[in-house]
Amino acid sequence: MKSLVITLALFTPVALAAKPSFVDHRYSSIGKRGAPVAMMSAQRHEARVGQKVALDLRFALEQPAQNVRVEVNADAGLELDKALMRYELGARENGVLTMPTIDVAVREAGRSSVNVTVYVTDQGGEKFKSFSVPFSTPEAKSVVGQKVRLKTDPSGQSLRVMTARESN
Amino acid sequence: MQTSQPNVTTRIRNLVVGTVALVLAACGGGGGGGSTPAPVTPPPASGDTTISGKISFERVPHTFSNGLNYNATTSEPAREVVVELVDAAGAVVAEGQTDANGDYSLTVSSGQTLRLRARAQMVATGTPAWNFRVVDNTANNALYVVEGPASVAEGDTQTRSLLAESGWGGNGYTSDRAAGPFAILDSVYQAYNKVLDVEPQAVFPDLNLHWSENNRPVDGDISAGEITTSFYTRDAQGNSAIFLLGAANSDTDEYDGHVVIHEWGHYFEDRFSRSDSVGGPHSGGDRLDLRVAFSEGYGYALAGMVTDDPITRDSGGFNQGGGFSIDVEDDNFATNPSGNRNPGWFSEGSVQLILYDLYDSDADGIDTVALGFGPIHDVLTGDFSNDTAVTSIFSFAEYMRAAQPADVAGINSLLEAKNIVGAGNDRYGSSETNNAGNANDVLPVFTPLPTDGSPVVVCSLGVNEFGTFNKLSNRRLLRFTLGSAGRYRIAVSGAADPDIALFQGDFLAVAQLAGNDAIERDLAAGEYVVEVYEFANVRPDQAATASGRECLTVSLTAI
Repeated sequence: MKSLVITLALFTPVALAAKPSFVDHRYSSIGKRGAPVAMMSAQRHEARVGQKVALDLRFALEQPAQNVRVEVNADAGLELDKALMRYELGARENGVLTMPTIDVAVREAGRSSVNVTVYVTDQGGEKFKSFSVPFSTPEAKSVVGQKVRLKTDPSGQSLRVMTARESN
Repeated sequence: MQTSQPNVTTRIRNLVVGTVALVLAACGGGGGGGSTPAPVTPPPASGDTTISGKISFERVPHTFSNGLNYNATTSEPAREVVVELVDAAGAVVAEGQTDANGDYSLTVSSGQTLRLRARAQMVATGTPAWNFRVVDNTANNALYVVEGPASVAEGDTQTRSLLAESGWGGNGYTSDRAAGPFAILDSVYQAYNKVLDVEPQAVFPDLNLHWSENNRPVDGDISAGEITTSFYTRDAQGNSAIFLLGAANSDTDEYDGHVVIHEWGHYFEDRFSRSDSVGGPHSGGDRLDLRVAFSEGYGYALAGMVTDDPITRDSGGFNQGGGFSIDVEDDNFATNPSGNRNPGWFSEGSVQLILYDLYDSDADGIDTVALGFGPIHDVLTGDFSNDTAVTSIFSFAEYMRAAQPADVAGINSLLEAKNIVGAGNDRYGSSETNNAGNANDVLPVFTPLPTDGSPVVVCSLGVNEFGTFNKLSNRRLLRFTLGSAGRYRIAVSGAADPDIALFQGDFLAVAQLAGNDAIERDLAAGEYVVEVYEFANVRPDQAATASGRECLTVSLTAI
């Protein structure tokens, strides 16, 4: 069994890259607010169908918390011990949180993710931050679960077609 | 103010297909939350069928605990979206748009087998103008559409209505999440109509909103949905783009209207006003770079103004059952520490509370100001957007005081309640006394840079103080005024890898080589701003290593 260690670091995407590609100081990407827990610096993991991978997750808590709760689930294509795994970590000081190892079984080829949501309760109430650990199988790169109908209109615009219900 | 004509589509007005007449007045403009005129349908000619109906979408509201409440799903009109009737070959035989009630009416020759289609697009040409589209970044940016079944147009009139459903199956999404793109558009509808209320001739540059059920909070390949978080940006061609999360059981934003409007607010400040924000992570209690604090606080305040609901709710987690909220009206630290923690000019929480109090009509506590949206819009799109000082609560407050002399005392009271000097302060924050608890490396907000070559020393702070990249004093600002034009050299030295950038309202130059840096440039007389930093303190990929307090020597000399 492979063991993977995920280092977590919150970051909103920014256009500022390592030098010397600094081009436009102003207006890098601006995103929504993050919750007071650090987010992973995502790595992609490749595993073949049938393989089982051990995930060791670590978080960086930016402020002391009255309670920390973590929920882990997985897209179709991956399997955990339970559909939804909950961890009550209780009150925590700021700093690194280490999660128990999570076994992830790869059931289908394609690209899918383990979804991790960290709920942090502090004086301001409960907040959360979600992040995903991406997996893909070497034999397939398509997006799992996406059954897309595409058309092209007369102007050449590609259309992503979804069905609506008649509501006459 | 952006006045240039964007590249909005004119295809609706130009469309002529066979003998079919486009009946609905295309691209009506105006909007205005119910002000759009209802479709005017002349009697059909003999052999014609007028097809009319309503386009709706399902909106999933939030619970009080900020998750999505699927049991309370409502049907809402898809307002001012493009509708089409298409034949079996895919040709568009009639086209128009819904009105403010989601109603449409199109007339076609009878006997054709046609399918009703609604595009996730709102478009108007002329003045005002806009072109807002929701596309799938994981499917080659295809435009979302919903379609009904094909059927024959027969009789004088026919009713066809469509409902874009959420796709929720009771314990997960089990079918097309068709409502998502239209829920996003509806939040945009509210936002641009808020602007049109005070600027009826606004011309909005094109905006694509990228959303997908694959858009998840992981950094990687955007075409695969790895967008990290919802955000606004410009693409390589300079086009505006918003990316929104959609990953079920993780973080979805299509029904988080305030989040959508927050990102739209970044589009608005970029294209109609100005933002000097450097982006990056941010939170209510952070001590941020003042440019980031203003931009993010403004975004949440704008969402409150557009909806007249001060509470942003951001849902996520398993079955979207969790979430958190941000209240831009609650000034009580006991109940809203996130918004009012570490108050000051460097706090997005302080900025959002101040801006919303300027807007709203509730006289709560020291808030006696009730300006509405017009004066705030006027400041944002006026001199504030051209000022030499960077965009911040200081410059905003100075221009607001100038525009609203009767409310100066009230404006200053709001500032001072957040530990920001109001009376006597200027757009550079020259009188500011709140140093965030750091007596050495925060004030003055802009360090004066002598023009005679005398060096000054400022220190760039790192991970052990307020954080990195976009936090307070990672980047230090200086200012100088040139009395005459000439060629000048601005140099920075010290530390491992100091960098320097020069601004005069607009970005002028940057020197970011390894080691010491300098900018040599012909400069006109006037005011300038310089930014210096130790690169290790602003690297997005190096939040916790090789970062720390580094002192930099800066000088300006005529050459």
